[in-house]
Amino acid sequence: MDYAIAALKTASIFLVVISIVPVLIWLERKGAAYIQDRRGPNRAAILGVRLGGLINSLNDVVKLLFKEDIIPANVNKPLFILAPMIAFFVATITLAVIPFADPIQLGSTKLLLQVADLDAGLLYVFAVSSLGVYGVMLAGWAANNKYSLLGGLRSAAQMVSYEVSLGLAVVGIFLMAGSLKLTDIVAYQGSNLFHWNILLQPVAFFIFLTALFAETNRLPFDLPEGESELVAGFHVEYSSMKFALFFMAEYAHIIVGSCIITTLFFGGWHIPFVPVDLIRMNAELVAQGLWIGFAIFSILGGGLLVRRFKKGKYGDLRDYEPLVIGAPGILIGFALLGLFAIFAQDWEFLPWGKNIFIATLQAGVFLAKVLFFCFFFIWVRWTLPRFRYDQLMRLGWKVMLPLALINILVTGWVVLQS
Amino acid sequence: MNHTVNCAISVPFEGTFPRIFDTCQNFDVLNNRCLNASEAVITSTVMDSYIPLLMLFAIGIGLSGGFVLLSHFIGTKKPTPEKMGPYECGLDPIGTPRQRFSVKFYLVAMLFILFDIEVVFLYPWAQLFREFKLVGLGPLLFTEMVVFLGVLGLGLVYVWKRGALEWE
Amino acid sequence: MMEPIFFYGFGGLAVVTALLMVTRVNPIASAVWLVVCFFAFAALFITLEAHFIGVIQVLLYAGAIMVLFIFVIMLLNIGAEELKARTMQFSGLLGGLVTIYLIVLITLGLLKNPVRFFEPLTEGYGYVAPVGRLLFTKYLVPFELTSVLLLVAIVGSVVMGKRKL
Repeated sequence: MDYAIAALKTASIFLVVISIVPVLIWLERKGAAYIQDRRGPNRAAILGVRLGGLINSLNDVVKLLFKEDIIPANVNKPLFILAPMIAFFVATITLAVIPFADPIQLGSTKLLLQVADLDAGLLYVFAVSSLGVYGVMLAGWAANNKYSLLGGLRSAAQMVSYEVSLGLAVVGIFLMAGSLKLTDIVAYQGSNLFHWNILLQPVAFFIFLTALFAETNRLPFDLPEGESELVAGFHVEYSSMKFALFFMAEYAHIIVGSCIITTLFFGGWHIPFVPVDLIRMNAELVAQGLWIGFAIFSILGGGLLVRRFKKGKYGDLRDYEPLVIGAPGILIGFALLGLFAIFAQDWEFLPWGKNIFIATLQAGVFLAKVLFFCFFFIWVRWTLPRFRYDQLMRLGWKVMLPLALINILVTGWVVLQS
Repeated sequence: MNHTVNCAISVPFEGTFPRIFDTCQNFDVLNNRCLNASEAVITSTVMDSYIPLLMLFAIGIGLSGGFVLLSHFIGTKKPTPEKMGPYECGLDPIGTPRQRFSVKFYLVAMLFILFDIEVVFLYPWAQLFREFKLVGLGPLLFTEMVVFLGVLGLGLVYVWKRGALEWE
Repeated sequence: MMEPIFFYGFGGLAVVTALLMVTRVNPIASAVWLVVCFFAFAALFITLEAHFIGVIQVLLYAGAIMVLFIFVIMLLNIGAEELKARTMQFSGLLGGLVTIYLIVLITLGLLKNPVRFFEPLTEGYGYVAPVGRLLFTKYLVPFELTSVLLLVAIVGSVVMGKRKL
């Protein structure tokens, strides 16, 4: 029975995280469109409904699945197939120790909202994410292509260079929290914004953020796949779902990285200035507020969409898209208001219902923070130019490494004196 | 003999046992007494927290393998000589791609290992720092790490001065 | 009840991957099997309550040292013919003799000291904090000497790497 619950929990955490990937790809393309004044995804439609281009992501999945899976001659076949699998595998297993909310107390059992609360905590994350180098290196080597090999080598050298800074940056946080467990670090930060590590450890935050950009091979550190030099780097020869695995691994990496930044520096699932006990005491009030808020949002949003309806804009089904989405929105909003008027008076959470509600709220706050950092990754990518390779190595070894060491000693000194 | 409970996971029994249960490592439920480490039978508990982890591993392996197999079966297959050759922007490749590369890369990997080991020593140190400070050993622990980092800092300075971090 | 299953399962995995590592012709394939082998080792450590060591096994051996190995194999790119020219004569015979010697040694050792059943460790014995407590008090000198060892390694690798530039 315990194992069934554990399996269910693990699978659902995995599903939630992995289902953010297509949304992120959509956000990336949409963000690129807005920031660089390009055309974004806006064509794919199901019966005229485009959801602002989200249907394009669905389209991509189907397209990639049906594409020809080319394995060039002269490649090392087992390693060629293994490499994208390693990349995806490593990106997914890193999310094991991330706490999404406070543990739920259900009767006598305590349900952790994280896959495993390991004692080694963040050390586990570093251990498994250091294996990500293999995906890149083996892909570059197995493909028997000059661009691939150069891209793979560059990428591996870059990843190992920044991994040291990544590991050193967080030592200051452990010093203050006195634990490697992510749950303890979240508890240490609490809901007081002035006690979050972003304000206590700003240097660590910037080192960690920069190193994370380098680890995920994204601009401004995307030299391994810089299209002007190496076409696409280590995955030049990949097609179909194998390419998609690399692609998904990159976005999964961004999501897990954002989760870790949120947990370490931004108070995890805590809501700023709102202690958990306060929510627990006023759970009914919060639920009612959210209910009304959602109803009003749905009415206003639906109304705005309906106003945008103009007949003959495209001359086909797409004309009716604002109506198809907007009208049900208004209806749902009013229905929720009606239900509220009928049921909201004498109503109270059951004990377990309250716990689940609070956990959901916390997970929602956590995911909102995570999505902001995912957006930040995208924002940076379409804003900054690319580094040169010698600049990149100099930044990693000569700036970030000494800075991280000094940060540790200063933090240690401060903790010692306090 | 086998009716001992390890308190780390005995949340279901919380509140029904005396306070000693909190501090006792191995509590004998039937006789209501604390057992010494030598008397206790350790039941499998820690492994329980690793089982969800193994499940996640299984999901990761299964899904990545599944994707590869799926596209292998439903994708079209029309190989042509051009398609199967290495991609080089439309030109025929000259020479083999598997050439020897600069020793630079080796040096970076070597330095990475050495500094990674340093990081590993820093983690338990950071975790224990407050605890040691409470019992008055804080300055000792701090000095230990200053010496440790000092020696390694010397190494960093040497590497720097020798120009091994330059990337021409 | 699960622990013996895990122990023998991962032990078997370690043996199989170690054999695969030795028998592969392609050095990169060997290295990949060795990484899997290290994973099995890490799992074995964890079943033996050595949690910190288990994670370190993955972080340092699988994640750092094997990266260097693969780097070197990729950088040198020694072909099969070139490799053959460098292989010693009678290397198989020599390897066989060493293996027999090791087996004899282990058997003699086991005969001399029969297997004892140790008392089980308390839970959390191999967590990060207990290991650290020992490391920074009882084993302080070895810990500090490690830094000197690392310094020597840093200097050595730079001297060897920069010699022919």
